[in-house]
Amino acid sequence: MDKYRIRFSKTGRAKYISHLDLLKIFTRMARRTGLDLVYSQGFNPHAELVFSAPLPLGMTSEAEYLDMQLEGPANEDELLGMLSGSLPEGIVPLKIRHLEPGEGNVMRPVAFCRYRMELSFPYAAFREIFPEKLRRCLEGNEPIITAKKSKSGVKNVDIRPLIHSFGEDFCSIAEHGCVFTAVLAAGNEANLRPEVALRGILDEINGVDAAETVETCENGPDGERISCEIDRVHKLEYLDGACVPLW
Amino acid sequence: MSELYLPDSMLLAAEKPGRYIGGELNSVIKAPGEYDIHMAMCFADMYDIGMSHLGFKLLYHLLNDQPGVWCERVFAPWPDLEDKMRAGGYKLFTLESQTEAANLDMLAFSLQYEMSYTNVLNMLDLAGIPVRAADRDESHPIVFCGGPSANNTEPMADFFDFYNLGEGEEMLPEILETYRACKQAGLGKVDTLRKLARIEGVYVPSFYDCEYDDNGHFRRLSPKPEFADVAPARIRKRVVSSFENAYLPDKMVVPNTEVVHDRIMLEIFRGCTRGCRFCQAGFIYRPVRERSPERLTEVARKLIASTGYEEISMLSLSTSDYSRLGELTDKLLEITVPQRVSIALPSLRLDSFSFELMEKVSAVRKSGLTFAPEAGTQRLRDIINKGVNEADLLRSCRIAFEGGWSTVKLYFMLGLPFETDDDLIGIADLAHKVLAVYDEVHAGRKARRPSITVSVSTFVPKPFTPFQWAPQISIPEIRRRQDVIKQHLSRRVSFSWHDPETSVLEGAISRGDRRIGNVIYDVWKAGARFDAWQEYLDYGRWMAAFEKNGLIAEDFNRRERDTEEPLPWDHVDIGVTKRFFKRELERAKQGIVTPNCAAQCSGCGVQTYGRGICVGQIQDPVQ
Repeated sequence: MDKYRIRFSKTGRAKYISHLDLLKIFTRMARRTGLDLVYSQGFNPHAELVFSAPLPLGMTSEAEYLDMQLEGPANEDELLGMLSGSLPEGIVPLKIRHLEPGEGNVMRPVAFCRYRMELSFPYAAFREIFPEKLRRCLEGNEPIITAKKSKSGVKNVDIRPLIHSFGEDFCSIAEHGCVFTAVLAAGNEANLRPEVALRGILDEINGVDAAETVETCENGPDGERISCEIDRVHKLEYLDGACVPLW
Repeated sequence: MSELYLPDSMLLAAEKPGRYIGGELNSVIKAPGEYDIHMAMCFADMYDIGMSHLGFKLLYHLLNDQPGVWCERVFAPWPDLEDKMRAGGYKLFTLESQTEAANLDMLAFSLQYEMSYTNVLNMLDLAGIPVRAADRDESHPIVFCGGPSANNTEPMADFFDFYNLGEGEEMLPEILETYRACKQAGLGKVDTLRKLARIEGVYVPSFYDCEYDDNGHFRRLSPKPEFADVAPARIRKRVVSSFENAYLPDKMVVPNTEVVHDRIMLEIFRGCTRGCRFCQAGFIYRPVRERSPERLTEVARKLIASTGYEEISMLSLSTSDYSRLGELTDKLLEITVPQRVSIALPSLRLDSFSFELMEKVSAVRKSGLTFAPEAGTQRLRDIINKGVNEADLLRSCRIAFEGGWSTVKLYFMLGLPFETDDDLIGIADLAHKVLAVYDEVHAGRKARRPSITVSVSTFVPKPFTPFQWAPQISIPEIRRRQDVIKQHLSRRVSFSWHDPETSVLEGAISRGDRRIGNVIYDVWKAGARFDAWQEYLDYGRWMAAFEKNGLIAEDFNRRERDTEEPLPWDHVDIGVTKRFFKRELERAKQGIVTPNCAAQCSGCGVQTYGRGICVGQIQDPVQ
């Protein structure tokens, strides 16, 4: 019995495939390619597949993980070749590695995730002032209070401690808006969903400096005026005091 | 990869965005130079339903295997999304290329049930295409249809340019070749339809006139003089020349989101030998033809390899009638067991052989068994020619209960011709006898509480059956009869029934003539869509549309028709003759059972095709 970890991307149309449907998709892929998956014992055997934490519907990702158990060893490159082209459009295996006995499974809590956020603004004027506003907001110390759902209901919390950092080129101007990356808490202990972070930041920007804001601009990402595409780029863990991407 | 047609904000707000994105495994994308005919298979219901139909998927792959043809798929968006699409100016779109359906050459609708008809209009309208064929010109796609409910062509005749009557595997390649020649020659729409009308099995409704008598009843449908050279008086359905060798795809689209029937479906035979007198499918799919276990096993092997599905279901009207069922099951098990694929055997007649089979494939969890006696007394079962008797049923239940089953569902119909209250009470009695068998099997032991369900649907007389002349009962009478059963049924038996309004509307549409088209148009204009879904059906809206057109629904569903009266579907020749149906109606009145085709040919007329079980049968043996 051999364990393999796959990192795959889920982009394009596939962002609308739900987490529940992924299990079937990979089980069927294994049957098509002749991969000998290990099945559970019992009355209703199922393939032993373990996915990383679910990605919200509509979000793309370059960093989804799956641990699968095979009945026997396989060549990693061949395995990658088999998987490529055998999955629905938008789900692409990126790399595969053999797991050593005792290695923790993929559900082991990560510390942070890095997201790439692409904002589209209809107003050129706002597009140009946005990066500066964003920088000022993030360099400040004021709490960023935003409504956040938790098990006990919706609460207003300060999300600033959950925002680890932003990319170095932290906000570049794209064709219709801006692109920036953000590293946010992810995992069981502290978690900040990127769309919640974005809403909080946009609220904050408007709140701090309402006079400069284009009046009709709504605080996306759900609003009609600002739209946003969020892509999970990496999962990160703490190693020796630094935040490093998970394999 | 093409961009999605709808914006993210709309997709994310939709109930299941996976329905609208395409990109599934085995879906077909073709490059611009690869095709000169661009068409779509359309299903007048949502993705989850359409992608559960074997015929729809089969023809999709067949069409894409034709050289120079790209066939995409189109489904009805669920109302939550449709409303937003209309508000935002979005049109009906195809899944594969995510382009507007109006840009295609042809749209082919698969008509499965009457209550989806308003969706056909709604989809055309959402596409920006005029719903009436007469209002469409060369700039619009040619819109045609096929499928079981297309056999009565008339209710939807105003909306389709032509009908494919019979088996698509046989006809579609010819239709496409003819269409291509017309397109290359630059022919206009009428001239294209003239060419298509010459193909056997094609019906072009606009080439025919209808007449009605003084009582407002259908009198005649005949070719208009100017089309008499191409439009035949009767259109004979086509059947495949060899069912054994007929097209079967070796791959199938695998949905990314769960659909109703999400598995490999193997059509083991077509047609039915039984001849139950209420069952339209039992007649329109004749002649009865089987595929060999060898071919089926080979196809199953390829489909497992191309789809990765975890389940194979055998598909047919009555699986137990397949002559080599044991052999097929053994052959399939050889390939399925090592691959952890399970086999489902729906539609089994429950005898000891079936139980052995079920044990072998472990297809049925010990939770549910279904029986369909259809009627509560032997008298009425003989009338409808349902060859089930009480002793057999109770014996099967005993075997099941002894084998550990405790859940049984019994299916019946209510409102059958010649039904009396005794037959309804008989339904309750039969359920109680099943219960008594359970108690007897478990006598003196502590046993699980059995779950016995009686499920009663309402009979809808259908064209191309011996009961095509029969009256349907009224809504109050349906309710009364449901109550009779309820009153007589023990509380230990649960009871489920169908909404009477749906059945009565189905009755009015399915035996309707061309004038029903205006009713369908008006009810759609008034907002009808997804009528097959009870939450969207508005009976009052339908009645208003009948009234507006000076038509009475009862004339179509409740009136007993004389067997000499012309019928709006007389111009469609399905092979089974009207003479046979009349004879069957007579035998029904006398309670005489007609043997199944395997035992003795009853001369239904379909022998003229010279296929399948009919081969070697004499022309008309039963007088």
